[in-house]
Amino acid sequence: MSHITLSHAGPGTFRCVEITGQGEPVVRLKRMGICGGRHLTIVQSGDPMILRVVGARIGLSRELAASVIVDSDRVNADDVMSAANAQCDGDDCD
Amino acid sequence: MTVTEICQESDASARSPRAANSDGAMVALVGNPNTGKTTLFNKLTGLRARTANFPGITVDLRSGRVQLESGFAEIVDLPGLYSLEAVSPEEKVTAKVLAGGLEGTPAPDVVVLVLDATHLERNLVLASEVLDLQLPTVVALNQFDAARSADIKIDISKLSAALNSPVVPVSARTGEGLDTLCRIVDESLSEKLPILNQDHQSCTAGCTGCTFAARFDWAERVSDANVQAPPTHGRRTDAIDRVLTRPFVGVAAFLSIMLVVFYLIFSLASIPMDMVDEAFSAIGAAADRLIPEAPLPAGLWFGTVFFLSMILFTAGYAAAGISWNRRSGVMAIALAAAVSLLPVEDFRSLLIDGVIGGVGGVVIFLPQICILFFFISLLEDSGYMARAAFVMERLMQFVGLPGKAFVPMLSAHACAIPGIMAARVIENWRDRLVTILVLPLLTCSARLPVYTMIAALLFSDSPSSAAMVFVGAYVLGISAALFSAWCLKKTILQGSAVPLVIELPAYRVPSLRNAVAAVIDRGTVFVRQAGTVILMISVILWVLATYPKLPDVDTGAATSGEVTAEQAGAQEALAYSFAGRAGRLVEPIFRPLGFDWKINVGVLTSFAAREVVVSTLAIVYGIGEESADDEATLVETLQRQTRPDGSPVFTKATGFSLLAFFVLAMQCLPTQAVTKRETGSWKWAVFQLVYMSAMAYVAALVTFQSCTALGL
Repeated sequence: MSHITLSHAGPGTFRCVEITGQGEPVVRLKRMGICGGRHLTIVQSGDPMILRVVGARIGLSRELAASVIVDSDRVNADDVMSAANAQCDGDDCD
Repeated sequence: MTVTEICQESDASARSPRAANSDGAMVALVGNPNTGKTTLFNKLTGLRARTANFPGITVDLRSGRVQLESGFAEIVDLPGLYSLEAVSPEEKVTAKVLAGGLEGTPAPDVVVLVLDATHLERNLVLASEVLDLQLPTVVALNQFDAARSADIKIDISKLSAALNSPVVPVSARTGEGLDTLCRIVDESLSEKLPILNQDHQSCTAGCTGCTFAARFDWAERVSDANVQAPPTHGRRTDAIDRVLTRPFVGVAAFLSIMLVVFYLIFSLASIPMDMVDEAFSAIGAAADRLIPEAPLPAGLWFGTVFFLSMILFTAGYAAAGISWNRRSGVMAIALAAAVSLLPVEDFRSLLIDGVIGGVGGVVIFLPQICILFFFISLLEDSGYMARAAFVMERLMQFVGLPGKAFVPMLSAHACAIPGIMAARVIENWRDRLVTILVLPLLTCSARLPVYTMIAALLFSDSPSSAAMVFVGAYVLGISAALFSAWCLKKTILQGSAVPLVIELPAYRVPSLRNAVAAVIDRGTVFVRQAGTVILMISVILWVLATYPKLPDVDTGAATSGEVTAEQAGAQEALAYSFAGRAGRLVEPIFRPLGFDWKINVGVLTSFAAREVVVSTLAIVYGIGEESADDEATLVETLQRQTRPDGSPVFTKATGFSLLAFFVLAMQCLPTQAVTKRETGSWKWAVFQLVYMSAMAYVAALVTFQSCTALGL
């Protein structure tokens, strides 16, 4: 399976392979769940873009998205549902 | 039952000044941002928490005392973080406190780990790191009511087993479960429960090299095994964000929201500001009546004034956090004695003009600052602030600042001080420092009286041109701030702004209690920091403008035209004083700017607070301080002034030059005090003063010379 950077990915859910680079920016990505093995859903493209990661919405600049490597194939829609809905995302929580 | 009935708060008298020194147990609240941790803290401590001074750090930690069954405990609200691999100064403090690495502060006796029940999986990553520290830990599963109404089912006992810690479902908003939380914390404190080894960190070394991947895998396993969430429907946050995060609509929405906030700040603040103004005038008048005309017996007078001065010093030292040692003690006694030896009339002037006037000049900005923090807290709590940073990100990156810098920059248009305090949201230290350094260039409300005077001076006959003076001044301030930020990023603070990664939390109804707590907290910091510095400086400036005194001559001789004897006397006294002499001394330096020595006196005396220039000019041009409020008289008088060669002082060139100077010059010592506080050293405060003064000088020089060349 080939890999692309998140900045080149369109809407949909992708499996994160790894983060390139090092230092503070990488820690900032990883601790938010943008980390190898997680599913990243692009909710809104653009710069900055909006992702759904581990049940939360994350705003991410395109510059950093370029250092996120994902599988080029989208994750199956059923898996997406279970991944994205594993948590309440706050809509009816309040 | 409310939490206050269960966790009874102790009375104020039982408090120790420092959390770190209290002999009560220390309970630390730890959690991700947006988990309702601060709401929980405010609910547990009431509104009586305070900002604790921990030695060696510039980060504010709020702490408060809570009475548990077996004794009191000191609860510390540690800054929120996503991981113990800390990035911002605040996060580093949290990590340090938990590791027991903060000097003079042992590791907390119990950690209350606040997890958001509606985003449990995400929160479990920090949980795994904190549990690895092997401190006694109680898990508070917050927002449990929200999770329940969203039909999320969490198996508490299984989760507790998986985390090897007691788990208490709570809701900080409603107070649900807080009594149980207090009881369990108390038990962990008194029993010192044994800490069991965890197995979740099994992959921290040797797997793939990414500890976060291992922790997220663990979090997913624990969450899958213990949490049942329904497929989410009706995504309200998604729907709102579809509008509020759009490139153009989002920016427009943000600017409209801020416009409303600013309109409210300026319209709501005017009433308390007038009240403060009147209150200080009344206090001044009362003090004037209280001071006897005829000298009292020397001993009685000395004793009374000395006693009162010492009380003032004690209060000032306490507010500014200065400890009593030999040096500070000797200084207080010497100064109190010096004040007591002043002649009655000098003392009267010192008290009314120096002390009461100086303090009043600072307190008058308090309403604006409080209202500003109230709205910032509401916007933060509602989840909107993250969107503001998101939509401003691209625009701000052009000048090398992060999107998060925008709200501090807007706040600075009311007053630089809350702007500097609000810069804490910027995680990266360099980005934060650049923002703090350029904030005072933005037009704050203290500049408005100066602009009003200059606009009237330049275009008394044309209101539309006068309005353009204001627009030009605002634009100059904003351009100068953005330009300086760009320059700093290219020179001494190199590096582009750290790109955005920000959680966009679910929207929720903001908490009024949190807003009030923020207002009390920030307001106190402002009064302590700015108030004590301005008091000291206004007394020093009073001395400079009063001494040496004119030798006893008949001041009536100077009377001419409508200028009264008293006004002429004040004018001569000021000219004779240190300030007046300094004004003449620096004349060669400021002459290329078009300033005469009288304007120099205005510039020098407004060093601590720029709005003072208006009343100084009124005195130095001989119309008396009271006339400063009467714009027409002041402007008329200023327009009549001539240079020795007979040409008018206030030409268009001088006016524009003075305007450029006051837009760009620092001229505000309370701001400097806050810069020192937030950056942790005087170095940056001095740097700020130097670069802004240099810029103001050059800009005024260029303005005057080019205007003169153009024949204005």
